[in-house]
Amino acid sequence: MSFESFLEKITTFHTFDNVLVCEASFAGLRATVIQKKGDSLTIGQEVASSQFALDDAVAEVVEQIRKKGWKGEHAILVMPAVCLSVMELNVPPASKLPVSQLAETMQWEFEPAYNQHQRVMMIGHLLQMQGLLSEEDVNEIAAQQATLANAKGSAAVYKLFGELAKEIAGLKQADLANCLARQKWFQSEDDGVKCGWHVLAQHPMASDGLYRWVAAGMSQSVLREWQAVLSKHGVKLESCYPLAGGGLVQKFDVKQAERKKAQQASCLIELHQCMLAGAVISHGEPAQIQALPVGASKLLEQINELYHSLDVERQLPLKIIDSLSEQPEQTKQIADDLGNILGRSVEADFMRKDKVSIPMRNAAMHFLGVKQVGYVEAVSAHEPLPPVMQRFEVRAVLMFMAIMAVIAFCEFSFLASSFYIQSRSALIAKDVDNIRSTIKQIQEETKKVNALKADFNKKEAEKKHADTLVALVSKELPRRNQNITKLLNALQKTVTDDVVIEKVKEDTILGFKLSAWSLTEQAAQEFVKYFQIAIHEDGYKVKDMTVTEETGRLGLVGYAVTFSITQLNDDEWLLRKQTVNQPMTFLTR
Amino acid sequence: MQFKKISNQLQWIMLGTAALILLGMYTYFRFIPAFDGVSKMNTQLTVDQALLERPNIPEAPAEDSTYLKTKLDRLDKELALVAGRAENLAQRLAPEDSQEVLLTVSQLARTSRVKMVQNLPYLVQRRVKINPDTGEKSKKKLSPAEERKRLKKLRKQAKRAKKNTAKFGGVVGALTREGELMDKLVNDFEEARPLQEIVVEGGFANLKTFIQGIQALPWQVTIVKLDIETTQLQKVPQGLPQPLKAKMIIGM
Repeated sequence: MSFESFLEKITTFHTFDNVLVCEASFAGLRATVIQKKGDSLTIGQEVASSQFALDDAVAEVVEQIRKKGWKGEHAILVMPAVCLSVMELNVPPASKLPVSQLAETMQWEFEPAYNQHQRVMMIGHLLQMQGLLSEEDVNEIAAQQATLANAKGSAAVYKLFGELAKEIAGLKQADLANCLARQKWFQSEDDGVKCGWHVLAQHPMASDGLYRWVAAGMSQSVLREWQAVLSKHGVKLESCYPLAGGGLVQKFDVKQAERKKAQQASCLIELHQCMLAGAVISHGEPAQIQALPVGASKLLEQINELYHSLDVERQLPLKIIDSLSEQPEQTKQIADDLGNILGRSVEADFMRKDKVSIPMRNAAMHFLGVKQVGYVEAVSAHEPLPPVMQRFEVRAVLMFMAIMAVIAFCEFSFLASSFYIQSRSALIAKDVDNIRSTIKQIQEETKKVNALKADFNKKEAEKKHADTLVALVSKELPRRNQNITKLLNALQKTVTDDVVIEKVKEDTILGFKLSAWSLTEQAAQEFVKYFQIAIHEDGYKVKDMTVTEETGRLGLVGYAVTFSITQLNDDEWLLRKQTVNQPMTFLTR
Repeated sequence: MQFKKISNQLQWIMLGTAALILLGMYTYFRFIPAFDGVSKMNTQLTVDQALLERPNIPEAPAEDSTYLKTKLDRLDKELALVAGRAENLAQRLAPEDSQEVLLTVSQLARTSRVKMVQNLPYLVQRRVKINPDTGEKSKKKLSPAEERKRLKKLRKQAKRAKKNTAKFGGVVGALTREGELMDKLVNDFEEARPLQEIVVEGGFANLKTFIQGIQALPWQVTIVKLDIETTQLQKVPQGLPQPLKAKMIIGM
């Protein structure tokens, strides 16, 4: 299945599993229901009507089919009014042309083949087929009609073929009317042609670079007539298939066809009741398709004429598919006679009239999409669809699929990533948990210890402070008072009559500085010595003692004595002495 | 609506818009959260793997919490004991804002036959305490309202101190130095102990009696600074003791 077929299938929301296949010819109407079961077809019982008026025939056929249990409502029609042709066009299959423009191009290119095909359904041919006129009559009437048409002057009056037939060949009016009534089901004066087409190969032909298209076409008004009459009986006409040419298609396996494409070349001629159709198959594809009206007489001459008009290479095998003859012997006779005329071998297949014809079967296969059916083309009763890739729904589906693919890819990536990560995590989860719990325990313990330490430090500081205060209040302050008293006592004891205390000044860090005056140097020295002895046991030391001669009170010459008393040791004394005069800016903690 | 009648360009615009909306919704509602989830899982896995390769387990604390608790309990008990002692000792300190001590000192001067020349409060500014852990001033950030309130209180205190100083002729002392007794009295207590500058005049014996009397007061009153000098103003008749002028700062 090609990608486009796949797209066609997924974007066709309504599929058919059975269809009423009708074959209309000048001889009458026959129909059968063909059902799809997997890749095969089940062909139902055929019903036929030979009523002269085809609308009555349709009514009869539909009624019989309904009686046989068919409840469907879709029908396809195979008939000679549909022309099949192979065209070589400079239009590539991937053309971006809008459908309407492509349809116009196809109709324009199709018109010559269609006009030629119209001969099959001309009134003269119909009358001849029914034996109401001989070939000579037809030729004579046609010649007369041409003469009248080309004549100049007021005496010349153009006449219709039927009127001339009545005058020249004595045709009865009733027969003519019947024939004309039947003709209108296959031919119309209306110029509108409706086409269906598809390309045969995606690549252009090597010889001229053109693309080979197969197209089917028919009169629009005829199509509407058939649609109307079938619709009246509750059946919807879907497509019309060609009688001539459609039957030439052989059912074959696509792969096999691909393999044998190069070797497949043949000429096929199909004999129908009302027409002959010939096709040249080259490289597995139809190269030419032509149709000719068939008369009751001179069949061989007509086949010969068709064969030569097809421009067939002599070495190509020639095969006849005969739906015209009543007996297989007649088919064989035709093949032999033709072989003698052409001087080559001719194969022939006899098609039984009581069986469903090849065109009907192929049309059903094409319509139901059972198998790739070569070059069958139909005229759809509906508006032509653009190429698959140009249809909005196809583009929407493709876009949706692309988005879904992207989403699926993303989701798969997420799934795969998650799975990978989870599997890796699961492998190490136990060890990681152990490490984490260990770290957590240590951190908690550290936190606890730190908190306890902080609390301990705080309380220790509090205790230290409290101890300091206790020591201050209980020891230091009372001792201070005692020291002062002792100092005063020491002074009282050691100051002799020769010594006068001038000043006692205290530095709260260094201690006391004592200034005195003595009558004699000896008295000064003794005072210092005894004072030092007196205060020694209280931890005081005498520092920086100076004894200098100086005039004292009452103008007497004596000795000035100055010294310091401190409880600091020597180092502290020196350090403090250096810094005592500097402002104390450091702060307590 | 027949789509085949829509132009090719418009079809692509419609499909593109629909695709954008769909992909946008998918991206916003599904892709980004899922991607974040996977990224987080991946990051966690990387972290776990790194942890497994280099566990980096912190060292356990050297001290045992149980041991520390025991130490803390012991310290609590010691602290309680010290606090008890401190409380007892606090009974010996003179009550703050009490004139009784000053009155007693004046009385002592009179009984000791020294002349009280000056008896003024000695004001010393307390030092700002610093947080031992952070090394910063223990000053929490105040809200504007609280800051206004603090400044108002400070202004009020300064005003009151000024008023008191003017009223009693107080002396403003220099900043104390670490190690000196005055510093401890001002800064080591929760509230600075009051200081008083006293200048007395009298003979040595009387002065000594006054100083000894201070020791014997029912409250703890300490002479934290003492300066003695002779007075030069009057000539003392012979045989009489030399009058002395003692300037002392007492802490109460």
